[in-house]
Amino acid sequence: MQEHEVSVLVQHGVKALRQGNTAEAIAAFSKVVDAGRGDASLLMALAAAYRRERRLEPALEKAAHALRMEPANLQAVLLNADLLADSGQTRGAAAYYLAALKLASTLESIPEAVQPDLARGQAFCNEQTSLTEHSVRVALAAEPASMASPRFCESLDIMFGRTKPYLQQPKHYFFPDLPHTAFFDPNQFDWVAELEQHTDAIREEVLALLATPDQFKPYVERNFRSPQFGVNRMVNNPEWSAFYLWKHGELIEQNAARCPRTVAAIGRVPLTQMPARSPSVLFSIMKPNAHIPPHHGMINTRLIAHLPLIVPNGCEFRVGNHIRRWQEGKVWIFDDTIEHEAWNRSDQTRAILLFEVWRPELSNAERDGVNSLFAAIDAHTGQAPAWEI
Amino acid sequence: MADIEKQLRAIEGQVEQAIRSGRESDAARLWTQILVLAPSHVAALTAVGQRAFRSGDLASARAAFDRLTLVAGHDPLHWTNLALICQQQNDAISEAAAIHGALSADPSDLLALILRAELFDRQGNRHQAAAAFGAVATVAPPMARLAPQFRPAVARARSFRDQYDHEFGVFLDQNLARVYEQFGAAPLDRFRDSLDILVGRKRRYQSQPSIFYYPGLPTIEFFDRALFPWLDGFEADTAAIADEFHNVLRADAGFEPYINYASDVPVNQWAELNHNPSWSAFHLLRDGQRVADNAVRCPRTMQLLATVPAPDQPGRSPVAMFSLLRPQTRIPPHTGVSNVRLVAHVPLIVPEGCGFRVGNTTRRWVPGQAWVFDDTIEHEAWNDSTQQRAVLIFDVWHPHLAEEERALITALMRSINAFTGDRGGFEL
Repeated sequence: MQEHEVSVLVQHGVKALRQGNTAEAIAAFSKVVDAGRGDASLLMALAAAYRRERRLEPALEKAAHALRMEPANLQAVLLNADLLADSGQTRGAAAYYLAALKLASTLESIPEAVQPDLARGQAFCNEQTSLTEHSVRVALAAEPASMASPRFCESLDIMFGRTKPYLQQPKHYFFPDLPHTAFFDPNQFDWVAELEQHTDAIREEVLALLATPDQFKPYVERNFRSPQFGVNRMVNNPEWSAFYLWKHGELIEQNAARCPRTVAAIGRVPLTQMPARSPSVLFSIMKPNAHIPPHHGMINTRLIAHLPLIVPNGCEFRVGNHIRRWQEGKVWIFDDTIEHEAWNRSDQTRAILLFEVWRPELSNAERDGVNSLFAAIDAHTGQAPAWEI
Repeated sequence: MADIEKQLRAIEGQVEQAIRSGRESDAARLWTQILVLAPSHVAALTAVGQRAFRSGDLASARAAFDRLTLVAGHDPLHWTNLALICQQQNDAISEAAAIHGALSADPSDLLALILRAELFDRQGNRHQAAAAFGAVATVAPPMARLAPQFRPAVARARSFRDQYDHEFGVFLDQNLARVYEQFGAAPLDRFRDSLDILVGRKRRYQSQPSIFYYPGLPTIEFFDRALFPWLDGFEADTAAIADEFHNVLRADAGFEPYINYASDVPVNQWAELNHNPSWSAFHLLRDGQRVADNAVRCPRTMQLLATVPAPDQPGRSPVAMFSLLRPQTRIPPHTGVSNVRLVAHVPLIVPEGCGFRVGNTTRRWVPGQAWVFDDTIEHEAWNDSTQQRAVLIFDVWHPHLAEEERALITALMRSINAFTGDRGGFEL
């Protein structure tokens, strides 16, 4: 077929389409395509003409052919998706819409004309996901003990896009191969039950401190040795404050002297021991209406334990995907290198005892390794570490 | 009062005109007039200070910016300008104070972070300089998006930090040699990895399943072999498995390209291997089903596969295959579909020049030595030799999943199949 003949047929077909004569357009375009002279855009035009005639099978065939010629043609991907949707092949349509969205995300600029199609594709995918989710949840509800596993429930929420995975992201030191666990089972720690028995005594001591003003210092103090992101608003902010019994490995004697029963009770807990860093044991105070914004801890070889002492209604704590309420006298233990935040939505002060323990998965050799590592770091830098709890 | 305001507006108008018509000395004179009326005028102080700095009158420049930090100290720019003037005056103490002021106004101000690092460096304070250059590297956006005037300083920050990390790593290795000796028998692999990550010799790799992420599991590249005692049978019988493989290979039927995307979907990194026999597979179990024609030809392998705690995910898993990698073929870095299953390799034929990397760890296949890895961590494989490489590959439940969890995942996959009305594929 001559170049000239191709252009006459294409023009003829385009004109026929404009006049609403789809059959004529299909005939003209098909001649060019059958002669092996059709490019991707002509195949797409032919597919669109078939679509108008509600002849979905040949439309799909031509659209697929166009995509084979130009695999990265966004409009061709969308046309395939639309045709699959027209013909009731929802899964296929969703897969192609997804491919179109993925492809669009890699492009520097997206033609204005395609934007509504992409939005429609996104809506289609969302609807498919929510239909799948509904059906799956109904089916799983019939399974015995289906919601007994918190990890499994979380995996469903992640799969259906309700939330995302939260991982350990220590700011300073990352120890690999450990499970990404937000809250630990307190039964794994044999000191918990005994410490909880001393809740009343410990609470009396913090109440005495709270009765005297100016005992507490802002939890996040300005530090010029490393940039402070994320908790910027909390820097030097008295809404979140602390009273240390041990700080970065050292007993604060005048403070400890005021809380002898707390010191005695905590003495039976196997605290993390790290030169110039651990243990830290403190009363953490949140003022009414305070919000501690999402942040991550320094190292993932330790866990943070809370013994809640004064917990007004309206206080909440989130670690990753898990939101909990403190209960006075009930210890919990969490990984502070997973994004976490806290709220006191009440008009009263919240008080907890906070301290750190080794991650139970670490062997004694590994704990010694970590301590030797930080001792070596201090020997190298010749200065006290910039440390946070 | 109103009079002064009026006068000010009038002079400001004249300044604007003078600047627009390029009458610099007129503008300078007018700015000075403004300062007589309004000694805290920010624009005037800035203009006077900059002009003094350009002409080398450091004392006047400093006076202007000293005042600016007093009246408009929330803006880190005045502080960094003051720091630069102090630097010219060789007044390190005041320079440090000005940098401090800038970082109080904005802890992530890039220029202030650079000035701080360079000051520590000039003062010979290597450790603080390294930490400060590290902060520069952390705060700076990627080079392509970075303002050109910051690029040399950020590049220098990165190389300073890299060099420091290297020396730091060597120092730590020497210091910890004693600990390694002391705990000779204890497994310290993950501790060694933590040190390598700390000094930048290794990266933090995460699990990145493309379809189904199961939370709460550890991200481990190669699992402890002791967790999979049933691999003993595969290792002991490697020769028999290899025989079965050779038989099917000779018959030259049943192998198909490993990557088989429809040609009309975007294939990204798989373009080269798509439909390519350079990486091919002989499937024994496929998408949870026995491939009858192939399985009957490999009875011993099938017997061994029956001993595996295989995932039960109808339409998806288990899979088992002989994977054949032709000479001079590379499988590009990629991640798998779900971290609920791990992947086992039983090496059969391994020429020199083959390798396999999962995250930070590169290993060589050795016939008779099986391993289990997490394929949701970025991994790649290569055969740079002139012969083909063959490995038996199959999947395994993640050993940290409880029985109930495995049952729930199976139920989940069944429910998805029931809804979509077909079996197969890992898509939603």
